[in-house]
Amino acid sequence: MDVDIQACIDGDPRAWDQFVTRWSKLIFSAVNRAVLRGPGAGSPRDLVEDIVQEVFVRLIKDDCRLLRTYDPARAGLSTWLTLVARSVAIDRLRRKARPVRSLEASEETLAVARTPEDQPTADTPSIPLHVLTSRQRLVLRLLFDEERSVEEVARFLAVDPQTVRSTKHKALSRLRAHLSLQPESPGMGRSG
Amino acid sequence: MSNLLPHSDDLDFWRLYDTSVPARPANVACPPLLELAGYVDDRLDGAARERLEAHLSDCLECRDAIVHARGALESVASSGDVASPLAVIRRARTLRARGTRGRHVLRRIGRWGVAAAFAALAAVGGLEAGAATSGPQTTVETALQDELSFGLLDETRFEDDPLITWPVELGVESGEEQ
Repeated sequence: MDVDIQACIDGDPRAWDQFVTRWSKLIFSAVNRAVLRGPGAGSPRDLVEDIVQEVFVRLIKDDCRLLRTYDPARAGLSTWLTLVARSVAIDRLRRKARPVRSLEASEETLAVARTPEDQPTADTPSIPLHVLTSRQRLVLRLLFDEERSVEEVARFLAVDPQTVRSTKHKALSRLRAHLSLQPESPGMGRSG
Repeated sequence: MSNLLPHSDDLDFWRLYDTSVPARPANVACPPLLELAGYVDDRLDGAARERLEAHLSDCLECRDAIVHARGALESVASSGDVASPLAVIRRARTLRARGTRGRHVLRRIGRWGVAAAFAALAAVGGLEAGAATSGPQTTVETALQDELSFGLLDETRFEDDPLITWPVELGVESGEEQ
């Protein structure tokens, strides 16, 4: 069922009904997923439904300011709505959590997960990521910082898993080659 | 499953260095959600894709947004994921009906305004046309009060959050906590 977005913006109640019917399930699912992964346990149905309603309100608020920004030439509506729904959910969860969480605690939560022994010390040299392409940096972050599998990274990038392995290999080779030229580099002489 | 994980030597090598970054890079605005959506849908050209991947390599929150979007879309496409939220649908439909009522009211005001002007002229001229305007004016006041109360409710529900970077392009921030 195609929904006429312009008709929604123009205030056509039938078009809005169709829009809601067509997309509520996706928005509900996206919000539910964000709430499940957000701070606090579980996914209270009332909270999810409330956030879904907030998503619809945001879309049409201020004469459909948000809905007007959607451009079908740049992305699919389902994808865009999923991201909007997630953002509204995260915003709501943060507002809800703020009274009991300090900014410092938030920073800890947001930091890339590392075990204490993995935490860099003041003496730990920074890795020269500037020698890598943006794609190579992204692959290493996903593989090593987030510890995602090759298949998961391939899905993220919408490429073949072999492309991920190849990109990782080239990135590490380039890093090691660069570091081997540096004096007293902790990566010197290591292979892999 | 272990064969899918990063090679331990490579991981050890990576962890010899400080590779940590904040969840969101400082002083750098995250891209609009439409651009992230374009990345998920593979609609970015080469330069835009490279630019976005450079941001993604430093922004945990935007990476998480991509993962979330792909997961949610796949989930709905494959299994339907959750039951159809009828209560949500009913509420959202009502919302737009209330939100658009203002336009219809304004149109009515326009028509009644013209009628009222004629009536006023008629009254000045001694014609008996005043009674024709009294009913619609009362209705207008009621309708405007409805619109006003809806607007107030709207604003109190969505106060701006000073700790969240909203504006980008959409007025919606694109990050998420882990």
